[in-house]
Amino acid sequence: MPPPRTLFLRTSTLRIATRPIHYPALLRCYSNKTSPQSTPPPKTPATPAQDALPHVSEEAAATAGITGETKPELEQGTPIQEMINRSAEARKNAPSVLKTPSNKRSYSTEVTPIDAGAGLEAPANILSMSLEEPLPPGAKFPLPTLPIPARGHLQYRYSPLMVQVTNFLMRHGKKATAQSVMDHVLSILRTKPAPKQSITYTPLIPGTPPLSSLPSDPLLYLQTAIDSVAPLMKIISVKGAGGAKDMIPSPLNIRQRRRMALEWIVAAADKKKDRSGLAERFADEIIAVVEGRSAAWDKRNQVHRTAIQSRANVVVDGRRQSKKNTRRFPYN
Amino acid sequence: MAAASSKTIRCCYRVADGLISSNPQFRSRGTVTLLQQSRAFSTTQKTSQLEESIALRTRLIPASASYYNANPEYCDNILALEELLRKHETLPTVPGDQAPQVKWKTLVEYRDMIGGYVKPSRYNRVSRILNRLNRIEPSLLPQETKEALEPYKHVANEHLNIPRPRTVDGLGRAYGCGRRKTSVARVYVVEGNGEVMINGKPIMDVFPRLHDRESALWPLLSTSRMDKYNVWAVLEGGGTTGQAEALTLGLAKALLVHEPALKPALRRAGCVTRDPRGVERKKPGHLKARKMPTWVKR
Amino acid sequence: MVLLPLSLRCLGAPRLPLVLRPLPRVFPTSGAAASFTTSSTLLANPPKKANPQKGGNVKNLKAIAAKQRASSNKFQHKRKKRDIPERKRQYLDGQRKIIKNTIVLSNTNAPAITLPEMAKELAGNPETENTVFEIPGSVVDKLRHIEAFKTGQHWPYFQKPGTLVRKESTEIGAMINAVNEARLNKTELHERRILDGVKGSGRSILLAQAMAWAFQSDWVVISIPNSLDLVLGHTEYEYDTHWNVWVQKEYTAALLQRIHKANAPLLKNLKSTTPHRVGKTEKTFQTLLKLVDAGIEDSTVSHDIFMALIAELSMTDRPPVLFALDNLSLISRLSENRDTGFAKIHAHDLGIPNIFLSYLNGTKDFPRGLTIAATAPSPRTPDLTLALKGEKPGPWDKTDERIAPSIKGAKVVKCDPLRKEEVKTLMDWYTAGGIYKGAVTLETVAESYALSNGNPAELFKGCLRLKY
Repeated sequence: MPPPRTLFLRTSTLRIATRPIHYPALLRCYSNKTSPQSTPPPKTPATPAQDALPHVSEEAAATAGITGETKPELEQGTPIQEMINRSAEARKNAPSVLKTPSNKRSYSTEVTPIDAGAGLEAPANILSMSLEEPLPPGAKFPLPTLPIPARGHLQYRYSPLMVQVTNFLMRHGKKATAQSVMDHVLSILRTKPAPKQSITYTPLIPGTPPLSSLPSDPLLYLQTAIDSVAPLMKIISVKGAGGAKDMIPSPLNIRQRRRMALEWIVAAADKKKDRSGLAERFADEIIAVVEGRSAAWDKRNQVHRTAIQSRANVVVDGRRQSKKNTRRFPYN
Repeated sequence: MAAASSKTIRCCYRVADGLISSNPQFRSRGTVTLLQQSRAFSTTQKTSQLEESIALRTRLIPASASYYNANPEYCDNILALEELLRKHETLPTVPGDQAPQVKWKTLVEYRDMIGGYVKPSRYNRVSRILNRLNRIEPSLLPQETKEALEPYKHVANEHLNIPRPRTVDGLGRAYGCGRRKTSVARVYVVEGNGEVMINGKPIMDVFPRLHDRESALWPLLSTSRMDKYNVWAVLEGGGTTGQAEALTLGLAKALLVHEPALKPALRRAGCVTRDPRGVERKKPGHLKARKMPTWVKR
Repeated sequence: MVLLPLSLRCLGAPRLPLVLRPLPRVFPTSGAAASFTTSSTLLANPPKKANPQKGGNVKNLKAIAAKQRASSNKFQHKRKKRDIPERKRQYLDGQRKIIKNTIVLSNTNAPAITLPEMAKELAGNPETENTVFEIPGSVVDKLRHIEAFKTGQHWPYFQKPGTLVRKESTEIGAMINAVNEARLNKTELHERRILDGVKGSGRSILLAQAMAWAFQSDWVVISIPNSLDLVLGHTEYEYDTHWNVWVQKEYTAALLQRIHKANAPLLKNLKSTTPHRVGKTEKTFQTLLKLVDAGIEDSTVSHDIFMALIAELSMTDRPPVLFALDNLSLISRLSENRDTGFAKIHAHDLGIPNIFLSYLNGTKDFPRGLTIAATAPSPRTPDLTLALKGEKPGPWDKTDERIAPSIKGAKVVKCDPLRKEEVKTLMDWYTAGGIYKGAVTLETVAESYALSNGNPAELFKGCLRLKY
């Protein structure tokens, strides 16, 4: 499973970071990352299982305070070396390890460092991982980190846009055929010359990478085309006063917008005179959208124009507050 | 009626044979005591004469009022329970979900207890009363009722109900069975280097479509264990999608035998859950599952 | 009695020249021509507009008047204009085939990769195994002329065509080396091989690699890129009593054209002195190139010329020959071509397969050369499969007894699945070429290997598939 890719660099994402910044609020409960701000240990016992009484020595010290006897040392225990130094009896009976003047040994029981240049075939990271943190019970190999990466679920392994386009192109429930058409579309986008900048103004979606780089990422190419031409509104006509039709603009969600765009793109592709296959027609139309030649742009502009003209018809409910859209292109 | 009358006749004979005391289901009214008294002092000759005369006049009454019912045991049972309920009807109750959780005897077990056939509807009647009695506030439940409810409780042997733990066998194989639609996958997983054999063929021959191959090996792919295990599977029934996803489930189950710690990851990867969907049944009046015939005006 | 000679002729052997060619298809070029078609409404000329000012005929005027009356009637419902579907442009003859068979060998969007060239010195060197090489520019054009590149292969995704040299490649390379040595030593060596494997296992690529090395070693390369064209009944064919086979003259002329394009500089220097039968005459050509040109110019004698060329190349002191054919399975059964009795003609009775197989099974030999064929994934040919395994059919099997002898003696080169190291090499190449976007680690290699089962075509598809 390849790691999630950075699709392109935004200036906002470029920063010189010497160490990772952790946002405790973003850490999920099943994340293996620990919060940097460690909470102080609770002073009162949290559960009945925890011991409510103080330590034995503390208790003894408290009793001694009342009865006036000598308290046991609470701060630190008496070091064994001190005791040995103090009494000859202890010195005689002490184990031989303690009698030797130097505690330094010629060997260490700590982890032996692996020679990096030993030419091991096994990847060093797995080996070191297993040495650093032993495997949890019930695992034979290092466990995958949770949460699982995006597109890691069996049923959600393709990007939502890819799924939507595939299902849109599907006829009679033939998904495998639709997927092969989709593969063909993406390979055409990959191999055809990069789209040219249109002379007229084409409002491509903000955040579009340079057009010359689009063929190297065909899905982003497709997404640029579809999201650029997707309308923000649809027009609902309602019977108004005096039998007149009121045009009311109504916002669409991202899925609905993409569907409208797809319908326009496919309609424009079908109108073309050449009799190539569906994949070729569709891919050509995608290129035409990015180059600003497609008839889908006219439809989108028409919808937006009507929406602006009839903006007075929108009934705004002051009580309802819409959630601020924080998503940025490319949506996934 | 015929059965009842024949029974009566047989009883009479028994009385005549002097077997009254040995049959606890019957007691005679008045006459028997007379017989016993007469036995005490009379001679055998006299006694036999007296017995004969009494036997002709004796009317025996069964111990249970429901003796002449087709199912007297059940009848006694329900009568006793109803009486119990009548007695404690006024006691406060708790809502059903707060009542002590109890599993009553099943219909089959109840039939065994009664020793005869019991209709399901009659069993339901019993279980209704039991449930009502069980809902009596536990602290106020009389000892008598407590004891009365005891024989109706299902006796479960906890030691028999423990699922058999799956283990890796002596050859290092773990077994898992997966199902999807009408497909069944029997999967054996051993530690290895990523070889896959399905129905004795390489995976390419079984699933020519990449999507299906990915589905089939998803448990290994999503946990980065493709090069750690070998898979050997037998697939039966259904089509390609069903077989591929049956293999997913079977493989995940077998992998969990090797590494139970993988369960959270596999659950999140969508490999552990059995997809219960299947072909929707055809209904009468429909052409297919949902399709209706074309509407005709007349 | 008049019918008698005709009916007798029916009973006899077919006489020459009996040309069976598909009927020319007539496409209506303009609406003026009477068309015999069911789509008459589509082909009809648009109806002439009645122009009352110019004085249309009486019928039209009446119609107009009726229309006006109708429009003045308020209660008359307006009829919706029915959309007549716009007629799409037809493809020109053969245009679709050109589009379908267009070979793209370069992707300008792909990043440039520096790869070592697949030089002839490296042929047969085991150290070159598991390395990706670039096909040298001088050879690419020749390979393109001879149709060594196929559609559906990986060429359109990279900036320059490159291939992986595998164990099988070095095996073939070693053969080419051996033949080259025989040429130096003036000994004779004619190798015969059949490439076998499952779909997508790289047989056609291996053929292309063999051709690339052969071209660099100054061999004459004759290739039948797809034997499907021979057996589908789409190319015209006729019975030739001289050669006693069904010859496909147009196809042979096209084949000669390809041979000319790919081998012209070499053929130009090969002098010829022997006379050859061309049609009904005998001719002598100065060079082999002129011989080939004669066949291209006059397709009626193309088969004679082709046979003459093969005969010339079979003489001693000729350069080595690579005789290649792809899709052997398709010529190992009955063809779709029919004889005069409407029975299917066996593919072995067709001229070009016949001569190829005679070289493959060693009936005829080049003094130095390599005859190589690649099997096809479909259709199923049980006879060929058994023959390749060296097994005999069961007593109750319906067998074609001509198949096993036709490949007798040719050694089989199995195109096995890739090894994991080769998968890694390929994935590294795909990453450099912008095809594969993930990291190449032991795990991802194992994943790709398991998903593709070591099949090169499937591996490429899997790496191309976007995983987001």
